Amino acid sequence: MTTAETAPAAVNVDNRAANVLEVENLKVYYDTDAGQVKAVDDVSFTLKRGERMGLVGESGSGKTTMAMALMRLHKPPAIIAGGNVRLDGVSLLDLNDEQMRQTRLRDIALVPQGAMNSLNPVYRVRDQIVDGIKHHTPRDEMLNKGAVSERVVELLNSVGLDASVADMYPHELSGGMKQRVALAIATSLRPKMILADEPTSALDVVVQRQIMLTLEQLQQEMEASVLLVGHDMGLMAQFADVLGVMYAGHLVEFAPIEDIFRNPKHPYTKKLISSLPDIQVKGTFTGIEGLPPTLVIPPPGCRFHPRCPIYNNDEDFRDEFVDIRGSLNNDLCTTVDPHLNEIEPRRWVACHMYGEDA
Amino acid sequence: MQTPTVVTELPQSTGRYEAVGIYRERIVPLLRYLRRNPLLIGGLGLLLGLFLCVVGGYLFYKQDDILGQPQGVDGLTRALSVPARERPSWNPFEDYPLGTDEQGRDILAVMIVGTPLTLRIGLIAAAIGVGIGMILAFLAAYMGGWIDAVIRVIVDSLIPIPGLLILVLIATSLNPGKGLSVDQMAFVISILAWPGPARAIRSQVLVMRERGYVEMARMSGTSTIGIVFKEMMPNLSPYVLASFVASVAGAILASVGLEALGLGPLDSPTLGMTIYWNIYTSSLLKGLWWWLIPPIVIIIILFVGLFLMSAGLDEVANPRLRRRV
Amino acid sequence: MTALDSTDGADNVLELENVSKVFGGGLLRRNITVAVDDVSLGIPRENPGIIAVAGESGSGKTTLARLMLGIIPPTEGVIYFNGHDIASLNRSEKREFRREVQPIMQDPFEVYNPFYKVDHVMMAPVQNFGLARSKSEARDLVVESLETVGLRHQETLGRFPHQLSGGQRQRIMVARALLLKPRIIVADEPVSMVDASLRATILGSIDLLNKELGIAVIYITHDLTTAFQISDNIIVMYQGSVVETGRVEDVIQAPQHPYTQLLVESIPRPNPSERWGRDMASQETGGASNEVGCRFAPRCPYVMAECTDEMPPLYRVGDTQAALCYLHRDNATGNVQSISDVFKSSV
Repeated sequence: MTTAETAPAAVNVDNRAANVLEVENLKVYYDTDAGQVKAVDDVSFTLKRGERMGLVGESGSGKTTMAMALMRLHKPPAIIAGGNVRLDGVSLLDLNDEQMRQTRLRDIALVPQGAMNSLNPVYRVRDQIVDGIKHHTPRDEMLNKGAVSERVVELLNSVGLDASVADMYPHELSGGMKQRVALAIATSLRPKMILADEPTSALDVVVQRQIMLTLEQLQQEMEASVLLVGHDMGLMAQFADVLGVMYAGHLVEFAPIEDIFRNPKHPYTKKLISSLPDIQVKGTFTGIEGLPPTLVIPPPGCRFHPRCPIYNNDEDFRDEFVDIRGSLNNDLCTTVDPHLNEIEPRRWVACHMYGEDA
Repeated sequence: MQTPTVVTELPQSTGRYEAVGIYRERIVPLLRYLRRNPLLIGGLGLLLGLFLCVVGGYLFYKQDDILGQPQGVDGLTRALSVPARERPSWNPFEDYPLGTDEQGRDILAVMIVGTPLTLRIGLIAAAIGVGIGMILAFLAAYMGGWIDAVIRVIVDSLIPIPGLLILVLIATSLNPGKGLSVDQMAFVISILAWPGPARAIRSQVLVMRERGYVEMARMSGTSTIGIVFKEMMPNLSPYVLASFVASVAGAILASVGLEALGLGPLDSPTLGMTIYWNIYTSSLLKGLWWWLIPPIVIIIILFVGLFLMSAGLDEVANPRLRRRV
Repeated sequence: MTALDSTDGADNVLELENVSKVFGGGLLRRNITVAVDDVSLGIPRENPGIIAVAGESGSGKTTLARLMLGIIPPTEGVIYFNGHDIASLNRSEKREFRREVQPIMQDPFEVYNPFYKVDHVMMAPVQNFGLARSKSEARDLVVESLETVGLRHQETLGRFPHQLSGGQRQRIMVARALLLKPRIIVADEPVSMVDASLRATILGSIDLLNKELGIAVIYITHDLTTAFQISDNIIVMYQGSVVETGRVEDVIQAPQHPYTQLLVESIPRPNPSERWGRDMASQETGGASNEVGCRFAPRCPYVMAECTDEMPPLYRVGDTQAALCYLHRDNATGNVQSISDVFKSSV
């Protein structure tokens, strides 16, 4: 498999920044009847050109809210309360609405959850693809009719669909085919980044595999970066180069995928990995005790401490962390919210076991 | 497999429905929700304002200088039937704030008495209509088969028929010459008030019948009657209420229509009858504009209020709109 | 197969005999869908184990579940409960069937009436089936079953469904099923809408119902991984047909039907160093399946002439596995009539 570290180096030659996406201290809050909910709190990470990032978390961990906020597609009562998002050096939060609208699809495209609902039922596939191209291309750069038609066929072929699909309506397509059309639309302007929010959650495993392989192929060919949001660690293992793990609005770990699976650092990630079922050994299937915290009144200090096996002295985990545990002060867990620190190159963890916070 | 304690914001409940519990669990969320439903608040506000005016009128608007006897409902009504003592006039700063009509009746008093009468027709007709409609809707949706088919055909063929036409026929044939009483009006109108609610509620019941909790109740051995009353009714209530409010508006419209044609209760000063007398005496030609404006304004307030309330309740009934937190 | 003349002496609690379910048809609708095609299956009274029914959407697995629950009647074939045809049960037998065969549904929010606290869904069966003599006895019963599935009543009772997490809600449904002490639980995708970290606990409590109380569990799922983890035997369905069945370890680790092979290959394994094969032998087709022969034939990489002519029988391959595929015509040790003939006993 391609490794994350080697790919971007070659790209650097042509004067473009190695990081396509830089997210700094992003905060997305909701104002509700019950109080302010910090759905995304102080999240930072960078994504290199051509890199595929996975973002996992339980429902309510803020992963979808954050992804939507990156494109400024978050819906009220959500507001971006602070931070910075730079796409290829351009600060997205400083753009006006029209500039942002132009940036979407052209530079950062969305493959939405449940493509069934994202296609307009009364338009043919061709019109929906052309529509996107037209609305994001300056008039003088717009291709002529024949060229647009060719481009549509080219796009459909690139996602494994027959040219005849162009003249079909969404209801004539299967779920997998609709998702492929959504992929064709998202890649129609060769964006720098593709944001895919659980793109296969409603599809069967066989179709899921086909769609993900198609996405991977397109992304490699365009050198686009991908942010795949989801909850299926298996899918992440199959697709991602780097993985971000969210818990209760925080990014708690961010690292290359092999490292995360081989040697997870954060106790939550550790639990997540060790609880994954597989089809080789029976009875390897456990859960994570306790419930995700409410974000209205999150636990004081580290938000994971009520469920943390280290804090709670879980026997199975004590030995594994014995060498670093010496430096862990339990009071810290209940009082100070740990920051995301880079403990090794490209290994970010938010846990007091790996150092004190300033 | 055990669940460690987790910090939650939820209060510990004893599981009993005491008064405080109901307040905290049902009323407070309801009030909180209301804040986000300006339509419902606006509608309720308009109707409540009108209601307060009527009640205030009954309590404080006195005309004892005319009658020289005790007030209250009885006194007012009588004050109205007093024959012409003064010429029709409009002088808001003297005894009659809204002036007097051609027969010398106090228009403010007519409005105070007439508004609840008109509302009464609407409420009775809508209650009967929605009641019958609901029973038929449940019968149709639950029994299915030929019962459903028959009910559906009747309902669907009644809805497009112009209601006023039928009502005119019924009203004229029921009591020719003397006019109907207020309650008789209500019953006549209710004859055509049920197909609309029946159709609307039937489709809701059909949707709700497929809901998971209804299936779960069936799996728990709950009887059909139990499912209708315990599982479906509580969730249907905002919808039924919205349908009821819309029916009240419809019934008032029908009653005003009949009355303007002179088919209403000749001896009761309802809003519609006031309009009828205006037409009958060509009041506008005689320059008595202050006689025609008040009933029209009140009817408009009633309709806008009922419409806003109905739209607001629709939002309550529609879970997609409601689930935003 | 033996005829089921015996009544109460039947070995199987539930028995499906050549059951088919067809949707559509009639005068106006020309399209008919065979949702379940000729399924025979017995669920034994002793050591019933957990049977997974796996397949993609449209495979007929949910229709099979609804048939077993008696929600819909079969178009053809008979379903027996304790030896009696469930279509002709008398009133008290119907009540017994209702209590003995219980569901756990997919959406753990939809099954709660939003008007009531969660207590309502627990108390309703207690009252309707007369499981307790008094209010306090009923409450004790509810508390006990909640504790059995690892829930504290202080944290669940007296709450409204939206105040609980998806995992809690689904575990309450497990507790509800337990309350009735049924013979069979049909769980339709019980964890597909629950967070991954909470799935294990829910499946754990379902497993407990089977192991501790001897309740037969039919686990309907599209997820082969969890099917492998908790079930003893598995039925793989494709467009209404049972294409492969048998001991779960055999079927998943050595699948014999080309469709099962494709399914197993496509599982997103949680291991970055074991990634999917890049070649997709079988592309998705527009839908139109073969009407007479094997339904998988249009997508099958090994398709032969006879595949499109006639539906193959369920060939027995080994003691505890059977596949609906002509590839096994020569190495088969006979044909299987009832699916449960190849199930391993769960002892």
